[in-house]
Amino acid sequence: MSPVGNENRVLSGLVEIGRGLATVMSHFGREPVTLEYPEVMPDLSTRFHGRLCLLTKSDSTDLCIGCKACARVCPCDDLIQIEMHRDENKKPVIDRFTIDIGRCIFCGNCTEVCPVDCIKMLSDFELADYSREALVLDKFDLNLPGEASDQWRVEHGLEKTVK
Amino acid sequence: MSDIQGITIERDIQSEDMVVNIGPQHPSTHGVLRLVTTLNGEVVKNMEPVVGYLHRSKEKMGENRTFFQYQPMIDRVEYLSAFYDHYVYCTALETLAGLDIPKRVQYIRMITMELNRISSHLLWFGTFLLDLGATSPFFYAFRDREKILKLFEDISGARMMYNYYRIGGLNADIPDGWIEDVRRVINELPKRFAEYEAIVNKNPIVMDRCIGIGIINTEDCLKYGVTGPALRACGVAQDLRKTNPYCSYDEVDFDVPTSTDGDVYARYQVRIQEMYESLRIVHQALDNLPGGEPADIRKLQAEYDAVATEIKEAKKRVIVAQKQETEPEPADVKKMEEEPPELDKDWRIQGKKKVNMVSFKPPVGECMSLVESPRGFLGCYLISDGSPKALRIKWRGASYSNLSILPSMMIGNLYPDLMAVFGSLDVILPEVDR
Amino acid sequence: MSEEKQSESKEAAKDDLPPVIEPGVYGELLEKKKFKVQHLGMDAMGVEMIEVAAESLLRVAEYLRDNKKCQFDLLVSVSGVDMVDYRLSVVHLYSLSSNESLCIKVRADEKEAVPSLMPIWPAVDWHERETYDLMGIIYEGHPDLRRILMPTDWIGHPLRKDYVENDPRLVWNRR
Repeated sequence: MSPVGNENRVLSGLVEIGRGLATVMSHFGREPVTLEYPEVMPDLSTRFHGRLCLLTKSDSTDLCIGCKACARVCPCDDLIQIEMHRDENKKPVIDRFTIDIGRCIFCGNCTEVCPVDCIKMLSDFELADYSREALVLDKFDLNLPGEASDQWRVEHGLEKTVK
Repeated sequence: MSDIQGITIERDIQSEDMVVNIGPQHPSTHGVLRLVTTLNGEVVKNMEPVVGYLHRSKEKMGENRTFFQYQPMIDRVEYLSAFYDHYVYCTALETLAGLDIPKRVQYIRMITMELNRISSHLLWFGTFLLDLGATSPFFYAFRDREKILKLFEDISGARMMYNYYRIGGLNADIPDGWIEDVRRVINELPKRFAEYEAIVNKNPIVMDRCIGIGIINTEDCLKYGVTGPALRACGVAQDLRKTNPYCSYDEVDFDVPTSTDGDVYARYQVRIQEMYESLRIVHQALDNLPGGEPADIRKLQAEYDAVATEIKEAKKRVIVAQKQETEPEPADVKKMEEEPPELDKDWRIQGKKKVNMVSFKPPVGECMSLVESPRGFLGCYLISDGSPKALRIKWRGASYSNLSILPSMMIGNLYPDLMAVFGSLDVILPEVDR
Repeated sequence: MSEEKQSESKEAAKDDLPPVIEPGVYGELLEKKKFKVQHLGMDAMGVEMIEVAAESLLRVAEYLRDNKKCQFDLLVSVSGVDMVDYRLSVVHLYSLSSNESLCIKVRADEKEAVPSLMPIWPAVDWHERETYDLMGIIYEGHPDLRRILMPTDWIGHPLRKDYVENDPRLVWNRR
């Protein structure tokens, strides 16, 4: 091999290294594509299909009227279980409202049919738990306090207070 | 051994064939597919795809759920382009019930479907090159796919299981600012695609492994019912969007990319070109979206509502005046006779009469709706007996037919080409097994 | 007695409403060629539907594939339909040259048998296997008719309306 050829090869090699470095440097200042998840939470849309919750009235009393529309349209059998009775004023009282969140497929069908805008979805997606039983959420877990419910309604363009 | 699940393998005296059982848990099979492959050295002598590991009885589920209950299940038939499944299902029911779909709904459906095609092809691009051994394109493709998925999350609330289309319309209108977001993403994507093409198109390894491998022609495609990009790569410009226009595809201008080689590389090029065409469709659909920004529609609706309430109140005043036997104000009488203005029917996101999802009952009849999904013909054969549950729902997935051609493509070819050939078919196993 | 009356009244109702179904393009074409075809009109999408007797299916299919006016070269799908009294094998065809679709229905006989379309469209291979697997329609002449989606040792055909899953091996299914 002639020395001239070697020089050319060295030169072209250097040029290639320079080009490679230029590519690397061009990416130096740009914003990262990934998120450092547990520290930085993702920016989710208001329509996000997350954990189900029950909104309450502004004074933290039940908004649900026990019509069972959500249970009827749920694609998973017996996922939402509701037991209710009516008190002396014919007002509905919810005795039991459980959602097996471990079997929920987060489709959002129930939120669409609710006549009083009670069952809704939060943007909460960290739902892991230690046992299967703990994933069955009852009314206590599902009810959102009055203030938080109002805030939810404001964020989603509904009327703020419900009496 | 000479018998594996009924497949008899010939015995050679000189050399013994080796049976390699690929899958069901294999990273390159894009799901759970088992390929019982008989090898003579490096040459594939026989191949038998064994499917059904992902069978979730989606068709039976459709028979014992109401139409609205079944809708979230459709997402899971083919999860990489679920908007197509929803479209095909909703169209079947809408045609059965004879519903008119507003233009705005059709355009939003078109935008989301084409974005879905891009996201599906991007995932295919990444995984296909990952099968060939290149890891970087996978990350690039996923980076860009993520932007499209974010758009879907904004509009439907979920990244893959959308559940957004409804019979006769949509779940909700597009959110504010979504149009700008889409424009930003689709203006950025052509640069990315050019980047992909720059690193892949003339790459000697890709060319060596793709050109002249897995060649099929039109006759083979018809023999196995192969449709979609695999058929177009054989030179047939068959695209249901062009030949049997549905939705509003007859109002937008786009080309059907084809190639004549019929090999793996041709299929790769057809898909890349399709992504550019999809971008063209999205651009046009955004420009011509009836109604435009949702905020404008809301403003107009509020104005119309105000006028309608004025008319209503005038009517009330006239009635009160008539009861009191006094002369009503002439302005009120004049106002009463006015027709309340209505929003352009093309601007709605539901038909004029909203379909009651819970008790929706289509009339007795049957219907086969076909669309061009990213993988080929996607069909839903729906028979209704007039009850709120379907008598029969049959899914015709493109991957099912496309996968059946694999053995004939592989027999007599080299084993290392298997993953390139299989990857180029873009088979999604949930759609095969349903 | 009452049953007889009911059946009589049903028949009378049928007589009152004779099915007025105009033959479609392909139905007429087939009828001209002396094929026995029952016209079923159009489906909601405007696809012509015809019913063909099992014995003439193969000849009709060959005609539909090879005739210049039809050229149905792409087989879209084969679906089994359980109509409770009888079972149907429904074939959907598509023509790449004319972009038309056609739907052929074949009624399975009492042995659940239907001639296989393998000689005409080899693409039916997996589709017929699937229909056999899920609906139990036996395709006579199919070279390799075995289960494809369900496990090979599955009992029964799940898409039938009278299917009851009572396999004692599937204990995990009952909780």
